[in-house]
Amino acid sequence: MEATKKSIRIRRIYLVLAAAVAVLAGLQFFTAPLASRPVTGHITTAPKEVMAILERSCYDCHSNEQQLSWFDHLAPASWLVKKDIDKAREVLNFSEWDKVSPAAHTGNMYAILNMLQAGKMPLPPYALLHPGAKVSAAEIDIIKKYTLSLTSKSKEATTASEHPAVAGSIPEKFPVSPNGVKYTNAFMQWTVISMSTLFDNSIRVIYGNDIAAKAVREENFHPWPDGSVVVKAVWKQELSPEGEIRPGEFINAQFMEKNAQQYKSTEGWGFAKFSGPSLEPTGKTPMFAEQSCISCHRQLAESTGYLFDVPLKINPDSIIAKIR
Amino acid sequence: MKYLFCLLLTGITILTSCTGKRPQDEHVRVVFDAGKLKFIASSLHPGQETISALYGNEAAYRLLSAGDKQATGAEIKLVTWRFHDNPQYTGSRINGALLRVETVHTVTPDSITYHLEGNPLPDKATAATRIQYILGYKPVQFPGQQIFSHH
Repeated sequence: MEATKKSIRIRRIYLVLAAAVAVLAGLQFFTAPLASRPVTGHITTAPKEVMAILERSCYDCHSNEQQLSWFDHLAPASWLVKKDIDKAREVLNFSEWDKVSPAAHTGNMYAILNMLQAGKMPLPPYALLHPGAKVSAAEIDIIKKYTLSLTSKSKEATTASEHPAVAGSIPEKFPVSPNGVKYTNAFMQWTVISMSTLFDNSIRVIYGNDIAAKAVREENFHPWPDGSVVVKAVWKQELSPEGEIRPGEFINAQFMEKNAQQYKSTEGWGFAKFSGPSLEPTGKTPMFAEQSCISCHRQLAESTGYLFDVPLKINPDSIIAKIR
Repeated sequence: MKYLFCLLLTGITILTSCTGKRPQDEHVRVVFDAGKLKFIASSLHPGQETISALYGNEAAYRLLSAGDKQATGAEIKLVTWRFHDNPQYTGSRINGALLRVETVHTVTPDSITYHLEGNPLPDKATAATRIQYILGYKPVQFPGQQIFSHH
């Protein structure tokens, strides 16, 4: 009697296993293959040790040259792998580096360094299943050394005499970003929230409307109130006769507009960038911010509600009354 | 029981009165309130590790943009901060500790006042040299737009 019960139990286990295998096998028919894309160009200026780290830890997602493990090809894991690779290729693709300008190369290397330092890349679940992709502290130092060398080489500050005049090239109508964010020159009247520089390339001023300025003062970042608009105006660095750096040629104005409903896929922020004298909007489709802007903001600036240039919390509040 | 309650109340009072700093000593994120003045220009001093914002009224904008030496009624504030590495992004620097506010007021072309609040200047410059320095700033440029729109 006992033996019969045991054999029924074993048969049930086999049945469940067989069903699981059958379901798994069935799922394989629903796997869309990863799009094959050609290799058009690699990074040519980085030392071998930097390339070795990037190839080992980043190429499986951020390239057209994947060397995936067998289990990455099995559905349902393959669905997630495909989704991650498609997204990763849009953000940064080491196999299409010929499309990347020298300035963008520097910017990308800083983005890579910041992601590695923050432990955000490789993605922790990926690193768990692919321990070989993990990047050690010593390897981050190698990336850092190379990245910092890029900006110390290229001092792009111009002198005052090279300062081009931009007045007069008035856009007839203010542009609109593909995701609906409209340029407005009203920000020139807003409160300055902070000032910053990026590498040796640019000097910036970050403006906020009344809602945004209040949100900063009250640290109301989670979430920022709807209606907050922050504009980062970016200029090239220019050397003054006194040896100071001053804002020179206008590069762009970067907008972040908070509307939780309208911009759900980018943490409630509508991103836009308007560049050059004609204020050319960045992006061809409304999806551009999902494929570029938000990835860094989401990973590195979560603590301040996805904004990088929020004033540091280092002044005693008594200073507000003292200095006006 | 009453004794125990009193002891507990005293203990709580002592503990709460000794914990934490006074509210006015807490650290905050400062956004400078320039009042009616608008942002006109900025600068970064690599040696002194400072970054400054210059605010002004319309007369100040006219004075700085066109070099209109006859402009009167110009109000200018130069607000200087220590810059720091941005903890959220290696490669970026951001204003941090607020150091000083310098105010210049052109009452007439021959009568210009200067006032300093906050930390003293590192090079102990005179009021005259600071006025000259501050009036040497040029407004930032935007494509086809001006900060004070009807000019």
